[in-house]
Amino acid sequence: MNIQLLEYALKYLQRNFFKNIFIFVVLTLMTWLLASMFFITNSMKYELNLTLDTLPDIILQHKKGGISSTIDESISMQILEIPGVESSQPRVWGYYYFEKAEVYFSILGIDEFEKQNRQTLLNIVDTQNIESNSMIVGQGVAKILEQNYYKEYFNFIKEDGSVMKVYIGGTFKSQTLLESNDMIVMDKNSVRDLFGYASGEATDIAIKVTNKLEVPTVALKITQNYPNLRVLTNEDIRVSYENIFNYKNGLFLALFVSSIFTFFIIVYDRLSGMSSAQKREIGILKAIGWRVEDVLKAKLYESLIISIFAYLLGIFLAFSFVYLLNAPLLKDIFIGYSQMKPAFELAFLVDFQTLFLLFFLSVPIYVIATIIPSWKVATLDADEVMR
Amino acid sequence: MSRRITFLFFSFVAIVSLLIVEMIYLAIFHSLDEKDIQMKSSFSRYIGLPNLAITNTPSLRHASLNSVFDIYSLDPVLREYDKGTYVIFMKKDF
Repeated sequence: MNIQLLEYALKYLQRNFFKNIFIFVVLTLMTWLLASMFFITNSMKYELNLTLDTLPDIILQHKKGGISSTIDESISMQILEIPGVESSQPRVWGYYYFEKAEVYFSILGIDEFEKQNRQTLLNIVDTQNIESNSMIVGQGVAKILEQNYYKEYFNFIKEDGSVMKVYIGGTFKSQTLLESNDMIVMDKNSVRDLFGYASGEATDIAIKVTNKLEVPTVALKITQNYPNLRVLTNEDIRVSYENIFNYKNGLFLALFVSSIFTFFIIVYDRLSGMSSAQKREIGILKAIGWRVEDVLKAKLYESLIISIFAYLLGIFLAFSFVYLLNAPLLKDIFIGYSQMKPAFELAFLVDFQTLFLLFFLSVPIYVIATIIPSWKVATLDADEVMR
Repeated sequence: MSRRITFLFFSFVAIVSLLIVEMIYLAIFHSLDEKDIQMKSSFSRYIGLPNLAITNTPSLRHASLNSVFDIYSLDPVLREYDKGTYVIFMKKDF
């Protein structure tokens, strides 16, 4: 590194302070905006994909007129006969609209708290006393119920219009807030009663396959045996997760395009030529003995100082904005409007691919945009440039 | 070394240090630890339903289990769950 040239580059930046500070601010803002978008997407994707492997391998749904309908529980026993199927579990779940608070709760029925995976349940709830006639609710549900004076129990309105009183047995732990905020878990028969399901009816069937490589084969066999059922594999869910982000990223793309557009206006401004004062400066430098490579080196230092500092500051601000301030406004693009928003924090994740992408999108492009016009002028005769 | 170069050097060191300190802080206090991940996995395995509870609109809450037509069966006339729906929905004043 040539210290004298670096000193010259710094003096140049100081002489054109306001022009350079403007470019620095725009570059920093662009890096900050793009980095914030990528950080939010990455954290949300990470949260979603974290639990993907724990979900059932195949889910069977029944459609009537293209709309989800109840499924016959007896099908689950027939599914068990397919080689490779480890378990087949009919599930009863659905949504309950609490009109007073204008919110929907997701309600899942399980086979009596005492029998099924009691230890697992105890690990994820705040209470150790779970009665069979009570329900476990997410923290968002508990808050909404409390606001409406239901502190110990809740009166559900059943499908036939009668009232069903269920006691609140506990809440899910805060670590599961992003998954459990709107969930209510209670006895399967109670849920069946609430939704007005007939005996032997279920919402869907969850299937586990012993060898994960066999999932497509098992799914194919089910499709052939039951062409009236909708077969949804874990892979389909993964693809739907991707689609959610592709759609949401489309909204981000609008921001991305405007940032890139602004940046390229600066680049175009730089590439389209230099001012007569800048040209004269290069001409004088050449006249006093500077070589072309000296001029280019000085310009390289100048552009590197602006772009690297802008990049580092942009990334620093993006980390602070997304993970310390929890991305106000930008996060809402993903969450949207909801009466029962969980107050969750985005999980910190360093994605080096994103950091490299942003680096190569800003620093080299700006450096090239500075070097090329300087090179064009520096290769001319000093006499010709100064005239 | 001139004052300008010293200032540039220390500015660079300062911003890189700030970034590193911030990343270390976030990694310690704002990332999911093994216990959190275990808890989420246990919950998800127990419940067996996909998607996050960042919205409680039925057609979006378990979006990966829905088909296009479910939107209409789950939310008839698209009532009261989205900002845009207030354009077509007037709350009754009882």
